[in-house]
Amino acid sequence: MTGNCYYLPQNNEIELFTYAAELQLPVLIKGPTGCGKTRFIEHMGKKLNRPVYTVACHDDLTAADLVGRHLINVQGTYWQDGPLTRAVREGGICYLDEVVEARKDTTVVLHPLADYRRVLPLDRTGETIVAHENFMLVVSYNPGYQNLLKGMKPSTRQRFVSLQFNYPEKQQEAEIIMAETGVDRETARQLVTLGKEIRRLKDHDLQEMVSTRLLVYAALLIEKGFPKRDACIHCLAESLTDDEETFRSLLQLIDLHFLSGKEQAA
Amino acid sequence: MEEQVGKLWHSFITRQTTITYPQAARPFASLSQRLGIFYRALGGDPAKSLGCADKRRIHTRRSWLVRVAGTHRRFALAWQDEKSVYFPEQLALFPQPELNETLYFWLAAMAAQLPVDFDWFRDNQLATKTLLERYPGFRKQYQTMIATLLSRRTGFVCKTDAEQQREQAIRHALKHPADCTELPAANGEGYPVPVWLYPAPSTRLATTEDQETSQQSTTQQQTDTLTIRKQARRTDDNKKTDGLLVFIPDSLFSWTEHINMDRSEDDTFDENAAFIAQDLDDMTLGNRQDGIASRLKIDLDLPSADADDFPVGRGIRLPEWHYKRHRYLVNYCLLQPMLNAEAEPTELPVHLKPTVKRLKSQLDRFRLGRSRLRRQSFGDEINLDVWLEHTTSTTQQAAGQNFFNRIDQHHRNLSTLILADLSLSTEAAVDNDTRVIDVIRDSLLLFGEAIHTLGDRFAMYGFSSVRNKMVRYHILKNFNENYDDNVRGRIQSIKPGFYTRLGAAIRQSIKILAQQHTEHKLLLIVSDGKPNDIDRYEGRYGIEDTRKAVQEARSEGLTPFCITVDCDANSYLPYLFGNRGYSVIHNSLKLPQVLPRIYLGLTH
Repeated sequence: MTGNCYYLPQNNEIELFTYAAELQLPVLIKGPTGCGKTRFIEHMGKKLNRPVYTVACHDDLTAADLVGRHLINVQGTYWQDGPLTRAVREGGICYLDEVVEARKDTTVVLHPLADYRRVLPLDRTGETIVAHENFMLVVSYNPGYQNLLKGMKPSTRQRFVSLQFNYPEKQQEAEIIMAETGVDRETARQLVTLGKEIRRLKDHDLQEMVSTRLLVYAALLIEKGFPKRDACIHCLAESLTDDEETFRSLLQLIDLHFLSGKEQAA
Repeated sequence: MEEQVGKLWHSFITRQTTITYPQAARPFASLSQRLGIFYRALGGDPAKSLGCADKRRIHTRRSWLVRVAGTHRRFALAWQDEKSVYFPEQLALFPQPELNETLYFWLAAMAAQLPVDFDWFRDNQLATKTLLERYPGFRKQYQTMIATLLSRRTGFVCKTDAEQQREQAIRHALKHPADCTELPAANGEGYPVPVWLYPAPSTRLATTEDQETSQQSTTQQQTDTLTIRKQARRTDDNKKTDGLLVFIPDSLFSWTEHINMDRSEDDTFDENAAFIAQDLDDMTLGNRQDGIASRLKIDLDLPSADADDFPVGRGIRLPEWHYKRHRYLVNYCLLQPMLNAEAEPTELPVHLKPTVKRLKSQLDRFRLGRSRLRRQSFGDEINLDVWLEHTTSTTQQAAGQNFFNRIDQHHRNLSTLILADLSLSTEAAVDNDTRVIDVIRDSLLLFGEAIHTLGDRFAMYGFSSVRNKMVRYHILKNFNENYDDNVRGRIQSIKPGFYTRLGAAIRQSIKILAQQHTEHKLLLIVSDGKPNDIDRYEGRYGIEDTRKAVQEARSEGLTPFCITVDCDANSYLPYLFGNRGYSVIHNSLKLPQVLPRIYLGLTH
């Protein structure tokens, strides 16, 4: 949570999040990969002056990993808090990224925290922790990724104030790219137009849409002096597909926007 | 000898009048996939497919030499309708192969810009202008293409002033598309512009009884055998003549105007029809419905009541989506559940037994149930017994420090319905002794064994259809039945027949799955081709109805997934099921092995 924490609001999300924090409501953020979910949380953490405990969920993540567990040292067994417990005790934003990836038993721990009770029962130690007034639970997931058996249970969903994120509008995305990388307006505009065109291929030819993050990467390379066309090939085309024909079509598309260095000189 | 001379003369005289570069030619077939992606990226309709255009007649003024050569009458030009975009079969206009390729991409970009109905002269200029403004990559290539094309246009003849003006206007429009000028009127048509899109070639005579149903089914029978789009002309044959008086008498004995394709009377099968059709300039199709040939086919195909499966109930009425009217046709389809009551209980066929054995041992580790794994190096809880044992032991080996218990839970709250396509197209051969239906049968058997081993809930149905009033829905196994020899017998007695009205079958499957009280519901469709039926249920109508049905399934909380052996499926399945919603098996013989694997991938 250091360094650059630029964030350009797309909608009313900052306002909503601020209210939710004030009213101690949990927040659920949905959105495709690389659209700024994590950046938003970091930004809000700074703005609200609360520490952010980020947990990247994976399919082996159990409740014990969140809550804590007994460990053993020479004196015997002792209890070690997990990130969630620490946030509950000390106050702060506990951000569970890709929460649907985690095992089912984790949601049971989240339920009493995500409603009016705001408590975390630790059955291993027999303790029930009442959440610090600055504690806030935020979870996120990418609706595009869902495995059939890993949807979010409706009963869990119902406990959150939900926010839908998407890739920003053309103008905003260009602003973001310029602010993040310092490229000129024209390059940013070209990158964004190219990005929009590639996004049309979603579901039909490509599994994933090109993310704002990838566009920023391309812009970073361009800003350092890397040829524009090559930057797009490596950041956009190669990152999105392994299929030869799709790759060649993307190449064709890139060529429409960015001429190769040789052609530009001519 | 005569033929030899004729050929030589033809190639000589053609070379005198037309300039092409066969060594630089780019065929459409090699580019079609890339063109498709490109077209969609630039904003083209993802529901449209890409195809080849036939040469079309353009009435130009022809010079003496051109007349002698007999060229410049028909030109391959790009156009689009609401189903597809059509490109010339090959392009050899430019000496550089890459420029010919660029022209294809240019035309795809133009097609993405232009609507189906457009003003040829003005909108082509507008689209060109937009493309050149938006994409710097096109600018230089466009200039090169235009330079070549313009230099070639100087050789064209214009007799009258009006023609001259029109030609000037076209040249100006090519050079300066931003000016957006109007086209001066003149006789005939201007010389074709290969970088522009053309309107749809068919000119139709609107008749009162002209119904979509009959059109679609008649054209379907033609286009199935031809790989390129023919220019079709509709003729008004509603006056119950025998069809021979419809056309111009002076071409009575010539193939170029008429072959016996009057569908209403056609009960002879002309083996050469497909070959002749390739050579025709355009085709004349009748508008009258109820072709005898097709009616006969259906009557012969339907088995007698004795030999047929036992119908269960009086049928279920289901809606169908009409994409043009943008609404459901309520109770339009009649779906008849069928049960093959006479199928003998049968064991698993011998040739599948080794595969099943292997599959079962692979699946053992996926078995359901909750298990507590003791003495783990990490886990959910401490096993104090082990801890005590370890601390009190005199040796205290590091290897014994597995103090944790871990609970592994395999709780699969899942119902799966498998819907198999049993249409007549599954009778097609895969190799010398195997048909598609055999592959589907083996797949269903293996899949049944696999899922049964896993202990998941599942049902199996097959379907086929004859128009909307007869959608046959074969029960192979319902959710409450055990997977036993009765079911195996029923699966082994499946037979191919009729057509694929996929939408109705999906809707019925949704109903069945909706009654299952599990958290996850999977609808697996095993198919071999596009949805189609002998009425209007083909092409876009069938696709759109199926798409709607798939959307309904999603909104009911089901997960639809399609597995197909149709290698062309990449062109339409993404539109129906989304990019992740389907899987194409290129070698259909592999289907039985692949199906369980896909299932596990989806659900584990």
